[in-house]
Amino acid sequence: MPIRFLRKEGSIPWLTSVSRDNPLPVRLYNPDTIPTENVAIDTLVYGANLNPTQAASASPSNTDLLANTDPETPTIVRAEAYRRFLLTGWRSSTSNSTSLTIDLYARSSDPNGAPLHTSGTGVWFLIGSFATTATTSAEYFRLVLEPADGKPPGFDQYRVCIRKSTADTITVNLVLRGER
Amino acid sequence: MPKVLLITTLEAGTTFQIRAILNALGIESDVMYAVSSTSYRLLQPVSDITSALDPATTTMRNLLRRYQAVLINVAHDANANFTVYDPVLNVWMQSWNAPEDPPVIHFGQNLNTARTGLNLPADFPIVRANTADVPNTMWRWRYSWETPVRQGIVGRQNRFGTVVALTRENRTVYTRSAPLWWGTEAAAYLVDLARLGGQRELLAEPDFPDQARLPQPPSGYGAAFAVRYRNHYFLPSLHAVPVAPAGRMSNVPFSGAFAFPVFWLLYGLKLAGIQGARRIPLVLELDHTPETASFPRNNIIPGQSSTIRYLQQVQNIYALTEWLVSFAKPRGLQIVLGSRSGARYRDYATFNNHFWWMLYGTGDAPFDAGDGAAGRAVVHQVLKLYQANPDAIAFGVHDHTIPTDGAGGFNNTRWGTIQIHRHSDAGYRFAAPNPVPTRSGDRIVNRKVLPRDFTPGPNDWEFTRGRERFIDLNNTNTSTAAVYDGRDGTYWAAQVFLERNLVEHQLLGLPIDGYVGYTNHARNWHGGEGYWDVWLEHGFRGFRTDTGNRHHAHPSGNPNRLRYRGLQFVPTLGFDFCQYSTGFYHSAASYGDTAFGQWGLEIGTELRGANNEWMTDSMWRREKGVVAIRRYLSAFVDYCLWIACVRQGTFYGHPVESAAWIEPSRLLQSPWDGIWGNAYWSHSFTPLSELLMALDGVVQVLGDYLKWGTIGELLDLREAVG
Repeated sequence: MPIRFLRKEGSIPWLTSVSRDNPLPVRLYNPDTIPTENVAIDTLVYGANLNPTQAASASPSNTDLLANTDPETPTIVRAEAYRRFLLTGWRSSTSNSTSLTIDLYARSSDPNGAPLHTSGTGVWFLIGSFATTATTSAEYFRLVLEPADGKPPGFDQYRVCIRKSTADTITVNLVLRGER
Repeated sequence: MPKVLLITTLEAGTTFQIRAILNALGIESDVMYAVSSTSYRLLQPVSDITSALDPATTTMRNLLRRYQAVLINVAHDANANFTVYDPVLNVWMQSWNAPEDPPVIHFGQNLNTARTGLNLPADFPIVRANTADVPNTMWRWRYSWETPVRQGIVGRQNRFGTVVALTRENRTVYTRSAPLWWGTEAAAYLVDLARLGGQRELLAEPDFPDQARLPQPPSGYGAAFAVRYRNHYFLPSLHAVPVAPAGRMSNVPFSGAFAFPVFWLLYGLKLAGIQGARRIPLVLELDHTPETASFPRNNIIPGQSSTIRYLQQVQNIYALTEWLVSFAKPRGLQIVLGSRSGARYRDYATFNNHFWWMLYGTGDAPFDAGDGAAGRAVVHQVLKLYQANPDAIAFGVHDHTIPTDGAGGFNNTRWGTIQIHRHSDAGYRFAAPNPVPTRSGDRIVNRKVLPRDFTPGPNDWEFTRGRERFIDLNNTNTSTAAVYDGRDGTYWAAQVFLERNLVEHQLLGLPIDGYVGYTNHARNWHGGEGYWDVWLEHGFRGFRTDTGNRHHAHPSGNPNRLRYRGLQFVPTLGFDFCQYSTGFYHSAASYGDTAFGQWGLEIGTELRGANNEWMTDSMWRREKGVVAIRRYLSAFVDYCLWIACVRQGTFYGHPVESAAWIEPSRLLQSPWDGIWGNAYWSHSFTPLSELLMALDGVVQVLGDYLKWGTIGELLDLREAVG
């Protein structure tokens, strides 16, 4: 980061006392060149040409962002650091007014990465369902996927399913990002 | 770190380009606006100075003493009646001359008779300018047949044609110089020679090759481009180019030709004794050597066969390359060369003028024997020159084989589908018949949210974006063919193109590697983020983009600062003498081919003649050629310095346009016949070498600020300056 020391001229008798708590004063120089790569948002998934499941309710069996319909398979793993997910994308037009719904499922894993529970009931925890406005138009959309209390979900694995409200053929291209 | 004060008015749009140069040199600066003759205000407050100052006060004098120099950027013409700088001349110049008072450098200070508030001292040597009495109050260098030199052609002012002798250095430089200007006119100062001496010093005077034929100053007076009076220095204006509104150059980097005469700014710093922390490297790029040109209307010597023409052209290129190496080596210049690459994997018939096929093509009868074969042997000698001198010549990827609109380019089709040709050299990841994605897949996942033990399968493709690794999962859009339809603008297309070119250069014995860390795309298109990721993966630090407005040319934003994950977009400026044309003169050329039209070196028919005398009268050419050459060199020295100093960029040209049309006996010969000062055009002019020598004259004068350099040094500077 470009900085300039303000006490650059003359002697600095108190230099030996410089510490983390008593730093030399600096000002930013060319602050618009500050690197922006360290923003806490990671790009996690690119999905293209998705055809969502038609369904009225959430189910892990619905297709996920990787076009996978196996309800046991997570979409992403090792994702405990993410506070929320940002899903942006584009959808094609439809004959009937159609909405898209993202169902965000989550589960924890043990130190070996094995899910704490994988069979029978309660395989996934549904954090929430997030829907776009129903429309016939081809358009971009954005959904913020986070718990209702707004606090970090803290799970290790997520299955991110996508469904549509009508039987119309629709194509979805999207990007999933995670905010750390 | 030295610090200077820039004083200007709101009209002076070059001030912030001046600051960009000072920043690159490591010279700090503050800006002060001269609002009126009683009110000067700092752009940003400094310590205890927070309000406007009366420039004639002690407070102002004490402020000036904090700086090592004061630079005054004057934006008023020689007809203007203005008072804003009167205190500088009436008070500062005449009373503030103690050793503690810093030097004051005036750029374009119009000491005209309309300024009734001026009270100049009796020993002041510069004559007050009066535009109603030009011959007796200033020195206007134009011939009777010349149109006023500030009259622009399509936004260009290439017709100053000023050549200046620096008396302290005893050196002559080409740079556009106008201490006085008004309307479409420009002029130098007139000085009273009897008043010179002591602290009244003539610093720069005209030294035109045709000086003796130009108007002469009155007896007892001399023409001057720069004058010192005590600690005040009067230099030419920095506002030579009317591109921006209000007839002044402002911070508008992206259209047309532009540039103020940077030489005078740097020379002003030198006069003031300001030493920068850094030097700005001048870096030359050359494209398409050693290719030849095919002129529709002529051979070099009309009537000769195409193979003789070919032989002559490559002989010229060889001689020019030898000269370039001899020029570059002792000066530390490393020329970035973009010979057209990628053709090894294409057909000879279409790409026979690309470097690989110039060397190795066979089965083309005229070039397999006789003069054609002799020409090919010369091309191999050129290759040996390149191989033997990596310190003087570095290579970038310059692939013109990719289909585009027009003449070919690099990724001009953006994200459309194109036919992709790749190489088939064994042992490389993207060589045929290894499978390669034809486009990005539908499922791409960040590696860090995949299972820790995930193992990519045969259709899983791993790639890098910045610090992230992604897996293109089960991408079945792959091809094993050498030629396939693929999506341009993608990471995968870039990998194929880059590997193909790197391998070809490896086979030529001209490796492109991280040592240079730079590449110069064909047509300067940047390719998009998919390409940038690949450049970074291969260790490149930057690549060339031009300052045009074409799509996939320079992305918008300040080119000094554009970065993509540290990858630099280096702006460049083309200085080609003329585009696949015939230079100043060729007996078989039409006037439309010549450099006059290409670069706006004349208005109307002032050089060519109303009856096209240029093409028919050799004496006419000998006279007018002198004017054309000094116009060309003074403008292009400015342009090259501008792109290097303001934008920290490079300048580039095509040697074929500088050498191919020249009769071999005239290549690299002096443009001048006769004695300097009353010289005529010799009918020889090699623009590339003459421009480099003209720039070298500037570097020798301004060695504290400029140097010939390598692209690595330029990238270092750009990273340091940010």
